[in-house]
This record gives sequence, C-alpha cells and structure tokens, in this order.
Amino acid sequence: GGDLHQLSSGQISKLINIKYHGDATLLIKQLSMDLARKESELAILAKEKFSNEQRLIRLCNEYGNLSTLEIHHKLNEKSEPEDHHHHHRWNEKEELRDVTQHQETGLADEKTQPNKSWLRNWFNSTEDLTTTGLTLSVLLVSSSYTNLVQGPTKSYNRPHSRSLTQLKRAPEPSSSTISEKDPVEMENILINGTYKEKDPVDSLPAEDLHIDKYGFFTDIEPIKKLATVIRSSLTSSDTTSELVTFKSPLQTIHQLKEIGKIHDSISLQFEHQWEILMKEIEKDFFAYSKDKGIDVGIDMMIGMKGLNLIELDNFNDKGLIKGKTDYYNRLVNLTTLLGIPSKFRFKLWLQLSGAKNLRVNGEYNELLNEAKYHEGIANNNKEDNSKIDNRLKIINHNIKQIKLDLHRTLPRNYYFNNLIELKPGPNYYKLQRILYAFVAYRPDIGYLQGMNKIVGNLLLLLIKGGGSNANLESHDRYDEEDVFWIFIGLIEEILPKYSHKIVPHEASPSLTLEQDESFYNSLLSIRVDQIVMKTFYLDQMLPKLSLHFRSIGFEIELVTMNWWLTLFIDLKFLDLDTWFKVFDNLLIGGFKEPNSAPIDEPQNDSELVQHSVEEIKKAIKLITLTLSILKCLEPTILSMSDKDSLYELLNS
Amino acid sequence: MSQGNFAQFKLVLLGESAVGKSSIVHRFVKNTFDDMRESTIGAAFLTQSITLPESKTTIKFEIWDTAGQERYKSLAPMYYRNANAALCVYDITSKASLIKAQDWIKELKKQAPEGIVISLVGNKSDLTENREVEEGEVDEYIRQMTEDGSVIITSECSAKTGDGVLDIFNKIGRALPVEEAVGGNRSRQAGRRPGGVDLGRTNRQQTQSSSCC
Repeated sequence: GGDLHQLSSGQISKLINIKYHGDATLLIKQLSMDLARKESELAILAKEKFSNEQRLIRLCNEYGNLSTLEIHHKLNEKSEPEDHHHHHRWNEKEELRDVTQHQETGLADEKTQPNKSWLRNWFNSTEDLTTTGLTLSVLLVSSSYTNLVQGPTKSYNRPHSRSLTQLKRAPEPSSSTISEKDPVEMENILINGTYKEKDPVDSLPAEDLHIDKYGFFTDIEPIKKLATVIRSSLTSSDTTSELVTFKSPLQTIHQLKEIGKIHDSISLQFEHQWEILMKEIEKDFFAYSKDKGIDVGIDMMIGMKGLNLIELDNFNDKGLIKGKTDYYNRLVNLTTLLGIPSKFRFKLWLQLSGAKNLRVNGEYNELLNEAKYHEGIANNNKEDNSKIDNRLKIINHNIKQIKLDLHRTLPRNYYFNNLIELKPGPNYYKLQRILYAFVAYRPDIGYLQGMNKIVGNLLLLLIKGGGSNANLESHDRYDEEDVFWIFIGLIEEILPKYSHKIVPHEASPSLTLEQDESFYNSLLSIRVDQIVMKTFYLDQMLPKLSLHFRSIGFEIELVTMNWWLTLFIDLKFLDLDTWFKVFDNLLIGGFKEPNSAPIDEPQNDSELVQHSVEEIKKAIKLITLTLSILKCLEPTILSMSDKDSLYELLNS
Repeated sequence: MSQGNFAQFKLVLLGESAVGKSSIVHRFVKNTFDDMRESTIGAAFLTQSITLPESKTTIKFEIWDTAGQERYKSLAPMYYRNANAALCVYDITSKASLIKAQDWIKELKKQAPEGIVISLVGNKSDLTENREVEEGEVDEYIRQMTEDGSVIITSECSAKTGDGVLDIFNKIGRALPVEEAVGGNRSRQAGRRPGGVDLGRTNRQQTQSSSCC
C-alpha cells in the first residue's frame, strides 16, 4: 500500500472497513511494518555502500604504489598459504567489481558528493596526520586487534552503528509481531542518511589492519602516506598534482591504471632487456670458461661489481670466439636506469657485493655457535669478568648493544614484530643471528647502530612474495646466510675503507704504518669525506643547492652522516622498493671508459696508490648517490627557506 | 604572542643507549609515546616551541637527538657545537647510565660552548620498582657540582606517562639567557651573543666545522 496517500479519505476508510475489519490501527501497524522493512533494506544498502567506500580508499592507498602486474598478482594470491594476511583481507576482486558497479549505476548520486570531499580530505589530512597520527594510530591498532580476535562483526564503531546492527536483526516481515522500532531512530538515519563520513581513519573496520607486501603495518604509519606523496613528487610532479586534485574515486582508479600501464610497459621492456643481456652473457661466459679451461660456475659470470664482465668483454675484444661486446657497460646502464628487476636482484646482489667470493661454507654456523657460546658464558658468570679473554669481552659487549636494538629494528613490520600475536617475527631472530655471527666474524669492527637497519631491510627482500611478482622465480632458495655474506661483501668490497696512521713501536714514533680500517671504524673519516663532498662536489655539481644551503645556514653533513651510516635506508621518503634500487646502484661500479686500461693490468703506480684509488672510488660512489638524491629533491629543497624544516625533512 | 619576544636555541640530547632520549623528545614535541620506537642512528632533528608566561617569550628549541651507542661518541661534538642547552639523560633503573650521563656533563664542561645550560634528567620514573638511582644520590652529585661553580638543572621524568617532561624544558627555557638573546634584536632571529643561534654566523661555523675533525 505504498500509494495510499493518493487515495481520498473516503477510499481509505473503505479500505479499512474491507481489509482491516474497521480497525484503523491494523492499517497503521501494517504501514509501520512496511516502513521498517524498507528502512532496514536502506540501512543495509547504506552499509554496503560505506564498506565499499572504505575498500576503495584502501585500494587507492595500497595500489597507488603498485603496478597493474602487482595488482593482478595480489588479486590472484587468494589461495596463498600464509593466512595471516587473509584473515583480514577483503576479496579484492570483488571489491573492484563492486566498487565500479556501484559507481557506474550511480547508486546514489548524492552520495558521491561526500565521497569526493572525503577522499580529498583524506589526502589533505595526511600531513596533519603525521603530527597527530601517532596516538590515533596506536588507538586504532589496539582496537583493530581486539576486533580481529573477536571476529569481524564488531567492526563498525561509528555513532550509529548500534542502530545498524539492530536493523540487521530486525524481525522478518512475515512475522506477526509488529516491529517496535522507534520511528525517531529511523528519522535519524534518514536525516543523517547520507552517512557523512568522519575521519576515515577513525572509522576503519577491523579488517583494515593492513600489511603491505613487505610486511609493514601500513595503518600505523601515516607517515608512509606522506612519504608516498613526497616520493611521487620526486619522480613525477605532473601526475602528483593530478592525483591530489582528482575529481572522483573512479577517475582516480582510472588514472592509477594508466600510470600503472605506463610503469608496466617500461618495466617489462627493461626486464626483457635484462633477460637478453643475461642470456647473452651466459652463453659467452660458457664459451669463455671452456676456452680458458677454467671451471667457474655460471653464478660467477657477473662477478664482484660486475668486474668479470670486463674480463669477458676484453676476451671477446680479442675476437677469439666472438666480436666486440659491451656487457659491462650494458649492465651498468640498465642498473642505473631502473635498478635490477626483482627476478634477478638477489642473485646479482650475491655476485656484485662479492658475497660469492667471500663465502666459506659452514663458517656462518660456526660463527653463530661461537657467539652463542660466548653469550652463554657471559650469562653464567656475570661476576667473574677477569677470566674472560679480550675477544670474548668484545663480542659480549657488542651482543649487549644488539640486544638493545633488536626490538627497535623495523618494529612496524610484521616479520620483525608480529603485532597480531604479540611476539617477535621470524626476521627478528634472523637479524639477531646475522648480527651475532657478524660480531664473531669481525670483532674488530663490531656492531654499530645502523647495521641493524641495513641487514633488517635486506632480509625483507627474502620474504615470500616480497618485491617479486607471482610469476617470477621465488627467493626460496636464499636465506639469512646469504644476507650475512652480502653484508660482509658490503664491508669488505663495497664500502670505503680508510687508512689510519699507526705507530707500531712506541720507541720510534717516526716509524708509522698505514692501516686500513673499515667504514664502520672510521666515523670521523666519513665526516671528512662529507665535508669534502659539501665544499667541493656539491658546490660543483649542484651549485644552486650549495648556495641555498649556505644562505639559510643549513649544514648538510649533519644529515648525510645518517644517510651513509644506514646506506640511505634512514630516509623516510625512500620506500623499500626505491631503496632496493639505490642499493643496486651502490653495488655496481661506474661506466668503463672506452680507452682505459683493463682493470687487471698492473699500472706504473705503486700498489699502495692503486689501493687507495680503489678506496676513493668507493667513497665517490657514496657521494654520487648522495648527490643524486639531493638532485631529485632539489625543487623541494629550494622551495624551503627555513633550515629547521629542512633538517626535519631530511633527518628526523 | 605576536607582541612577545622570540628566541631560538639549540638543544642537544646525550646519554646511554636506550635510556629514552628519543622518547623524551617525542613526548615533548608530539606529546606521544610510542613503544615501537626505532633506535636512533647518528642523530635526529626536531623542533618545538614553548612560551614562558612571565617574560612573554616564545622559545623555539632546535633539538638534536643523538644516538646513544658509545661508538657514536666521537660524532657528538658535531651536534653539540654551538648548542645552548644539553639534556644528559639517564635511566633511573640503571646506575651505569647515570655514570654515562655524568661523563657527558664532564665532556660538555670541557668542550661545549661556555654558558651552555646543562640538565641531568632521569627518565623512566614510572618504573619505581626497578629504581637503581636514588634521588638523594643525584642531589649529592649536584651539590658537589654547585660547589665547583657549575649549575646543573636536575629532574626526573617519564616519557611514557609524560610526567615531568614539559617541566624540564620550561626549566631550561628559564635558565637560558632569553633577554640577552632577544635584546636589541627583536626580529625573528635570535640575538648576537655567544652560543645564541645567529644566522649571520653561518659562514664562520662552516669553516670551523671543516677544520674541527
């Protein structure tokens, strides 16, 4: 009887007489029941709409950084064995369909309005979030956990959530009892029926406890969102401005898809080039090792810093088997352009870092045993320090500091800190073992804060699906031991060493020797290098920045110290994928100039000079990377005239 | 506020690893406590302003929060150079950390700019059951230092609960030569005085920095 209002009063009373035996209250009850039914339908629709919006936001948030390839991978990974992810993950495929359907059918035009401003607010508010977000996010997380444990039904904590659940449980229309629903509540819903969205963070459902592909709890890091904005402004200022001022979610999805397509076609192209290169090298290397009669595995064909390729190029240059090749420069070129594809990354890291050459099978476990043994001794006789030999003392001293830092390394990453079950993640222990083994391997270097971050982030490349797409070779066959040797490679081959003058005999102080000290033993020398970088290279390569720094009194070496000690991972605007690319570049040498002498031919210079030239080259690499990052940031930095905010941007 | 004075000071935090230096700073700057804080590497930078009602002065602190590991010690001069104030932090549940903090005071007395305002701060005051450092012990140390002519602000706080944190910065603010810094130069910049932050001195600072290490 939805058209009762069109009838005349006489017709209504007639209807009451015939259908309700003259009892008008029955009609009213019937009407109110109909109304209640409609109301509950409406509420359910609105609820669906709301959750769709939430999903969309999350999609925009999560997949804004992903290519379509990665999105497809995500969509197809439903059956992945790791179910932690999926307790709380929506079925994204459905999400996309739902969202687009709703949008396309224009389910409620008026509702796209709040949607729009809401989204924009979300983007605009990211900056505020960084300041106020911490408490908020902590609250959010704790509530999410409890919800997670109690199941997904309690997920909405908006003010009117109670009425929603009530409505859901509203009596079946067929039941004879008449709904006792308070009409006022219905009115409330209708009046506020547009479901004005408050702070989206405030109203995230429990399912939203969200872990990204590297295991970071992204919800509790609103700063990451800011980082995304900054980072995209680094790469392409045009698309960012579009992104920030977009018109509607649908349009955003479209734009993201477009960006993704471009990204994908470029990466595919590059990956293809990489594949071709690797195949060619492999073939030639086979011929080369056959000709030379050496038995070197194919996993050595690139070599430390790619130097084996120079040898291969030289060999080909002599034209015994093949004509001129340019493998080394091609490798360097591809790496500098877009980094190493995740498919080849870890495999190449092992070679480029020198880990392959340094690795001694079984040593890792031995070192680990030693460290654990020392730790045991230290725990057992705390009082009797005199008996402990020096090496043991040093190892224990380092272990103490490592213990202080383990739970302070990547605490927002699921694999380091399992917040769901409130226990350390598997990588926590891997990190511990690697650092322990390291201090046993090189007690003279020992543990320095910052190593934890580097090793920790390297470990993230090995997590299932981390950084690699579904169809690509998995990293299963690599483990923490490989990361350990990569780290050793870093220290032995990649990071500069500094020579220090030492006086071996106190009796004859004029007799000094030069001795190499590791990067991590040379904080003050690093500082000198950075002053050189500032006063010489920065001035020459980026004169505008240099001038700007000087005019506002900004001392770059105060921030670059952190950059170097963490190999740039401490930069909050670099996400992990970008950092991996920085790391790729750290591991390769520079282009080989066409006429330069082959690297292995001894030159006239003394060995000592040659040696220090090598070390200087390593330091130059760090300087190059630092200046590259500054160059990327140049427009942003030049627009900031306050040195304090600049320090905060680059170092906090 | 626009009528009041404005002064800017550089403050550095020193102290043993994991005593809670960064937590104190974050409590002061963002009024938050995060038990998932990462260890600081090198140093981190933050700023926060306070207003002293009695002198109607707004003080902006440029805060350098340094890494606590002993091995970073050699870098400390880089951060406390030109500092106007220092927070030497210890953990009340660790006697060893108090000794470290006192070592820092010793070093500052020797190396830091003259007139630097030094404070000795015991963090984690909420962990009373595990207390290893009694307040009387610190008082005795302060008394000795005062006899030697050194004024040291002392205080306990808990970055976790927020107790006493703001108080420390207010105390430091009052001890800083605000009048001097503002006097004669009412622009946004701090005044020209030793230790005061003066943008005009940048060039000299740079040349100093390149020769100092």
